[in-house]
Amino acid sequence: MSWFGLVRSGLWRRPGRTLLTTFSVASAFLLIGLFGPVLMVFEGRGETSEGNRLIVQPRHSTTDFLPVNHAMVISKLPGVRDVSYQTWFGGTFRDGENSFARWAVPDSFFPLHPEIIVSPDTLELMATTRTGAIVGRRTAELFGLKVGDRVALVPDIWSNKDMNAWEFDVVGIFDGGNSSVDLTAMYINYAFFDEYRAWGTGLVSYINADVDVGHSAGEIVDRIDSSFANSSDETNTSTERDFALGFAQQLGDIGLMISVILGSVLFTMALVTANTIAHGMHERMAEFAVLRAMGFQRLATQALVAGESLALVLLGAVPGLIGSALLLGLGRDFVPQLAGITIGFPTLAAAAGIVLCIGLLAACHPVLRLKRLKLVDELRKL
Amino acid sequence: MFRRIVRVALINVSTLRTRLGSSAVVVVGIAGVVFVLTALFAMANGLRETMQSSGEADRVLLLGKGSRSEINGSITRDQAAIIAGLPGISATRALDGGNKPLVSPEIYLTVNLSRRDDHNRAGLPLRGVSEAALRVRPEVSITQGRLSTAGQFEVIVGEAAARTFEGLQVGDHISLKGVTFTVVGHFGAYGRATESEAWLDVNVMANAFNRATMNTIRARLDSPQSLDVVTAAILGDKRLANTVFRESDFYNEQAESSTRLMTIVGITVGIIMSFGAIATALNSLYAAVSTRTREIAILRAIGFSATPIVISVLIEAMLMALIGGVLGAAMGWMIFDGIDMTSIGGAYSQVAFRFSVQPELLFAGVLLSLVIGFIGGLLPAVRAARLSVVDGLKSVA
Repeated sequence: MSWFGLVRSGLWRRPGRTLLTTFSVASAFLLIGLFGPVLMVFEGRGETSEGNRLIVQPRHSTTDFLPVNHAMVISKLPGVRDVSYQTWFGGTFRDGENSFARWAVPDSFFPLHPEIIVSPDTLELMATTRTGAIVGRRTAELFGLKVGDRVALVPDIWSNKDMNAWEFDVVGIFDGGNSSVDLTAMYINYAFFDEYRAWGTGLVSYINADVDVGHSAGEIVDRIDSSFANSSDETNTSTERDFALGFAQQLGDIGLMISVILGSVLFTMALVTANTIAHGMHERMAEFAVLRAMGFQRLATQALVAGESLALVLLGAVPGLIGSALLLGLGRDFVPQLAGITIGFPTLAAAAGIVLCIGLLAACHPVLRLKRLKLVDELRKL
Repeated sequence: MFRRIVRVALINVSTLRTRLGSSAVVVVGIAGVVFVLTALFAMANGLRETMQSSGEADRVLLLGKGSRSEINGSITRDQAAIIAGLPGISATRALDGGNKPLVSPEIYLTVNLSRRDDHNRAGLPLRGVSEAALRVRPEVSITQGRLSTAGQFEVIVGEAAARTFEGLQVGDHISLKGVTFTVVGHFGAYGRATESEAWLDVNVMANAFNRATMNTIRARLDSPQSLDVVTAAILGDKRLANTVFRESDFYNEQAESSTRLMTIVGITVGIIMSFGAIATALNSLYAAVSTRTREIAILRAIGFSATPIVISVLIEAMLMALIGGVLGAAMGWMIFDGIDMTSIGGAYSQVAFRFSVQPELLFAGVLLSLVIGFIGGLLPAVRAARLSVVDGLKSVA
């Protein structure tokens, strides 16, 4: 029998116990898979948002506006390739509970955001339809919106010059090239919006800028912010990654709470696994004595224990992580804040590390017992 | 029958010592579930309590047309004057004998400052007010320094905001939109969300931030029942189109929306961890039953029925669960009750609150642990009852 065969038969010796332990471990990895990526975002290791695209916002406030002229100034700075901007439209749709994001954007917005997948025909149509709107796949499906539909939004911030509801015509639906795209969003034409709003002409929420090759993001961030220093509209420029991080950090010390959850989960999982392995091995010391008597090296029996322990954790980790990937995918459809939170390489690496640590830790006790194993005593028990 | 159950249960518990390892795992597993849930729900409860305590039934918020938050919407000064004269709005008698309506038109905006604990920039709600703000909100009082003077670049800062952000002590200067403001006082509001705000003169704010209109109006009602009168008066006046919220309803809604995510997370984590703990309990109790095979068989052979045996296994399971539950709840209470934290209240602004571990929460945690114990013990108990007496006696323990 091969080493793998022995590990397998060891695990299958008591299938009930193995299955239940696997289940406990899987539930722990389900939580690791759900909260690990969130923790990564909090630590600035988000997996999908752009590190080379910049967002410029007013320095003094997240909810105030910048003059659109800043975009022209920024586009002339060396090291800046393309510039666009976006204004938060807000408003209420239908019964008011449907709070998906709505942005007024110029034509230049889409080339700068290639991860928003939209056909050239749609962009053409958007450019020629003043009241055009491009709607995210998720929102379109949720509200049954299709091309040609008219969407009415009651304004909260931006009253229009006629003081009625704004009306837009859906010219296309967009998809996401990666998980950072908010598929609940809706984009409307900035030109039409700017002409028709009752106040605040020329005010934008954010300016987007692309760093040219050969320049570092940090260098351009400083260049932009220093261009407007000591003016009444100072800017706060950050990479999209840091920007997302800034939002997450406003939620408070969520990192602490996640650490509490994951800490408790890891501690419990280590105990459960160690207990199962110790329990199983305790019953089988005599069997190991037989293996030793048959000529197996001590190290070989110890490797067997370690292998079994690692396999047990791995058996739980794989379905657990698959489960959390499925849950995150499902959650993304309903909670737009989850956009960009995926199980990527950092989470998988951390999970692999946890499998190794817990697996080896659980094997420690029986491995030490095997070292002290008295063949004669154990064989006598048979 | 009852005595038999007690006796078997006692035998059972007395042998727990020999199964200390796996019993401890069950206890710790369940303690972990209750501990984590206590922490998560203490956070949600604390935020909810702060928000809910912030609203009064006899106060209303009047926001701009279609607006659901204080940050959006615009109300002109003319509209504000009309609102002051509406029926149902309360007034106090001024020294000169005229009436001063209890109406406070305000500008509301969040500004970014560095948080004290992590130096990250976060939102501080900034409110432009007139002296009416204090008449409408009797709970607000100066705790340090003095009130700001009308027309001056002076701010007063809520106690909680001063704790949360850097550079908001009395005498400090803050620079916003190229203008320097001086902190001249701190105010308290009995721990309400208002304490997380900073206030300055409404006209100074309108100039500094280029705001021609107000965002929000706070007003006192004649009585809590007057809300309908005010709403009807606004609907009847073509010059007005405000959304009206009773202040307590407004904060209750904010409490719900800002704790919704925490509640969903709490429930998800609770379900997943509970399943894990149930699997652990099942494992440990199946093992316990199998090591006690001979003992159970002997009991059956000398005339004990299956019931006391089933019950004794369940008691063992629930006893371990109870210990775990109490341990987890006690740890959660000791570590988390009263911790200060900030989170997003509304419109990207920070609201300070305190973790709140209520007795109901502890009770719910212990109850959950008993449920886990019961489910985890049920199947092993049934197996114990079904053990064949003959096989059991034959087996060597």
